[in-house]
Amino acid sequence: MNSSKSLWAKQHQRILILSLLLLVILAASIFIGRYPKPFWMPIQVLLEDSMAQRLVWLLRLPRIITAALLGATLAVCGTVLQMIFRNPIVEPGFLGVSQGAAFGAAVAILWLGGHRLTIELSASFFALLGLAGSFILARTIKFGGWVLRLILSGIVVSAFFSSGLGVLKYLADPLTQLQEITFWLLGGLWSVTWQDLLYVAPVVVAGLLIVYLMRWRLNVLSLGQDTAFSLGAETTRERLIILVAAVSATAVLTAVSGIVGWVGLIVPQIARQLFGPNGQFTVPGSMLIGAIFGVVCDNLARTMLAGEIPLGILTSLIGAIMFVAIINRSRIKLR
Amino acid sequence: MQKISKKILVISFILVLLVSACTAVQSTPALETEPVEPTTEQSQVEQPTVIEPTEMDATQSDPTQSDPTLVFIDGTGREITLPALPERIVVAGKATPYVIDTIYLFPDAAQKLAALEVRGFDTKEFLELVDPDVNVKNMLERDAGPEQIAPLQPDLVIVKNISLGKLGAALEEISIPVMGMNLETPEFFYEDIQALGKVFGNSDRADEIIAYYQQIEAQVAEMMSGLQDSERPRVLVLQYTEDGGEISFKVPPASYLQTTMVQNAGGNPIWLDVDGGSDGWIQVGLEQIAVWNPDVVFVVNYGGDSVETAQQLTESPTWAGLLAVENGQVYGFPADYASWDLIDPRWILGQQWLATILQPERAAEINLLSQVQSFYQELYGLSEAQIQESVIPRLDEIK
Amino acid sequence: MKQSMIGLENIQFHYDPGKTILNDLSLSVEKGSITAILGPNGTGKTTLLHTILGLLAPQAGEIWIAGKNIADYKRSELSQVMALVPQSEVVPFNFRVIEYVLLGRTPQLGFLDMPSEQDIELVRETLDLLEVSHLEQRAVTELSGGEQQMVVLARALVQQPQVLLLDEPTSHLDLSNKGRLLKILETLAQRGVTIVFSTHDPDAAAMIADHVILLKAGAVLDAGLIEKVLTSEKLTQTYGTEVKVLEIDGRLVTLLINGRFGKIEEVI
Repeated sequence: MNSSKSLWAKQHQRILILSLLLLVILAASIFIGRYPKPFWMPIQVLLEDSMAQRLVWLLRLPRIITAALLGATLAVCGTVLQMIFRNPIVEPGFLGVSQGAAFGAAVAILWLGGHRLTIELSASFFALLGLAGSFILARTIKFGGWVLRLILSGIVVSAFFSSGLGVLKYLADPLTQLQEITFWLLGGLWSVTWQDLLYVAPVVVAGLLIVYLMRWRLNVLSLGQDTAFSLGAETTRERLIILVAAVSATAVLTAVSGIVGWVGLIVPQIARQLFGPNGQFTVPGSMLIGAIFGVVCDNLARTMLAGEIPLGILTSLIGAIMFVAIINRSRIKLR
Repeated sequence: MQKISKKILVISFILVLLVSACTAVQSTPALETEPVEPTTEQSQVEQPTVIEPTEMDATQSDPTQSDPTLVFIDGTGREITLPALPERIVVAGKATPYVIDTIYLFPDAAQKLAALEVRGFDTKEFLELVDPDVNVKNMLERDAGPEQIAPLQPDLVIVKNISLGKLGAALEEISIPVMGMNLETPEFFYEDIQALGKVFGNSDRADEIIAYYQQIEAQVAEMMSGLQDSERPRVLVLQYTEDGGEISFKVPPASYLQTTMVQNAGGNPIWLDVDGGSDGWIQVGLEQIAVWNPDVVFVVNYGGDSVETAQQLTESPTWAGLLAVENGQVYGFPADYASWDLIDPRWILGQQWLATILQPERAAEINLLSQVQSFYQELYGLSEAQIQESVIPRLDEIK
Repeated sequence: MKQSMIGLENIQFHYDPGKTILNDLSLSVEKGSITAILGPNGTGKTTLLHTILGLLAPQAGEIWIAGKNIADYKRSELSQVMALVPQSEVVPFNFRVIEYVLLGRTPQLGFLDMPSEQDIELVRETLDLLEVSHLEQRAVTELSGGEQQMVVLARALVQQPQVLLLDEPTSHLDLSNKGRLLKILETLAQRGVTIVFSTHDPDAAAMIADHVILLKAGAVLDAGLIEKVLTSEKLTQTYGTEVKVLEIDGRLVTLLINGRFGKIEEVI
């Protein structure tokens, strides 16, 4: 008992602190918003005002939970991609996942009836296709290191999907479908209702759970192919399971929030600084940090101005600044 | 120890599931209350005692009306149920200028509009003209959501139909009634006006407005009756945009109002063979314009002065040789506070102006200046002095 | 062959149909032996190791591990029997040494289990055995070549394998580390672990191995006890350059004849 405790004492302690922090932030977020006055809703109002109750219960709460799930999922997806592709500077937005999801949603709106479930399925399918495309393309490129090749092909695949999206917009009926696609792309969590959350929750919770349970396997998969094999990993199958779980969860959430960048890059970096690279702790660690990051950013989006700030703009701004800070003091080594 | 972290995570997962399960239970009664009106009213009655004094009037007036419930269909085909005539109306979402300009056709708008989001064109200046108190109202910032709108305690939020899906759905989730406006064609415009008549409890005014429009439409149709296809000039409507020094030309898709207006004014819209555009309007190159080689070109420049732009194009060497340029038939679409080609009440002025350009002989009876005066007098209640002072100077081009 | 620890029968392997890497290759390795797969660069040594490991599936032939056909093993079972020390292990993240070595316990854990205190205890013992306990908290990525080799070996050892495969284990090591490795492998062999390693260096083979499999162009040229196989004639034939094998203090050493030492008689 002692050895394990002392070996990972710091990690366990930090997980505990982050969990408590997340709970506190979640609880506080319920009272943060623009109603009845900017920034803070007194508990008295929540107890007595029926509009406040509706607002908190029917809009703010699902929104806060979605923000937490979104942050956790993007962060975990980043961690998974970084470990499986053995590349510390990739994230869903770099590997065609986000753009693929956007394209898939547009396809569903245009040709598949645009039902919620269809949009989710189509977004997941094209997100996985984007990932597969980036991976295969990276293997065919004949120059540069693996890190660079993967990012290059991610850029290519993303560009392919964004131009595909442009073409789809041309095909869309300007009075109906086009507006729906445009809205979908803008994203933001302010319109999330319980029903929206219920549609995505099963895929997201299952995805997070799978990655969480396989967090030790993730370590093995981050080693070389021959070593991973010699350690008994069914490398192809296990990689596929984890990637499908993480990418599907990301895609269905992207179908609600629009493209939200940088979380999947920055949070795994922070998690590794706090916990070391061991997936046993970076997986739950990046979930917690991601959830906190997501909720805080969404609180800012909801509160700072009298209009909603798009979530993606906030995360990109904060994420990019943090990335500069991390990469400057960092031990990120690119091989 | 590692078990603890595992437990914490599992517990948080369960929490998520639990909360979702609870809501499913919780939201069911909430949904049920909506059709049952008395319950809804009660919850509305509780509200003012806590916060807003203005709501008190609404409560007091309730008993005086025997059955104030208001049920009607809006221009987007949705059934709206209101407990009483709305006294606090908020306009939000995208493309609000069209909505606001339409709402102000009703005299009560000035009093009942509690808050609005204004973006684009010179709508703000126009509102200051028709409603001197407009600046006292709550001005919403760009992209206000339910969090920002709820504190205004609206009885009804009116949005352009494109904002129904997200903003509308979110507002309805917290039991704020939402009405959509379509405005995309004259027919939809009339339906929107009818719905607004219900909202303001002033269907007479709605009929009056529709009669005004239909009378002009009928007059123009009469003028154009018996028009041969060969007599219709070949017309191109072109939007000019200058984005960071990059100039582009766009034509409206066939389903937009501009097409109908040109057809009704006795023109032949020749751009309908291209389709699809990334923001609705379809970008075209100079080559395509040369292929069409239209008899008449109408230029709109929403970010500048359409008439000046038309002048520049006429003088530009790249445009030399086009039929419309050689015959001096490149026109900037008139705009006072907003361009007359938009899905805004001013489209009826645009319709008449188009007729005078495309079929000058048939439309000789139309006196645009007096039409502008009657439009602003009868529809917005502006005085002759106001019109002479503020509106006409913006319309040099139509004299 | 089925009775030996490792048995290969008529193995045929190629990546591209035109280019045969292993050609009708048969061999057997006895339990508790230290066997060197010796041959020039590019002769298929790593491919052979990977084939034994099960990572590469041969197009023809049978492989037997501990009396059982490799095809009848589950992945997890096989990894409890065999461990691999690859030629160079690139670890992309800065795992601590103790965490990295713990990964070697994966085959013994249930699919979704985390390592227990006993696992950590075993890792510490193994690090002790390899005399690298002081590295426990260091990052794997910051170790020297020799240190890293020991740590990778520790990771393979905590698998508690019956068969240990090493790919060019001595190439990064200085003399003192080579000596340590030799001692460790001998200890393991005495405990009954079967050791197979590849090397291009006959001296390394002579230093550690008791058996040698001489590989040329994907086929076994000769195999057997080291005294029998490691002869001047056979090495000359394998490497295509004249090599002389001498015995010094009961150990075989090789000398290149056309080296700058000139004639061998003068050296002795």
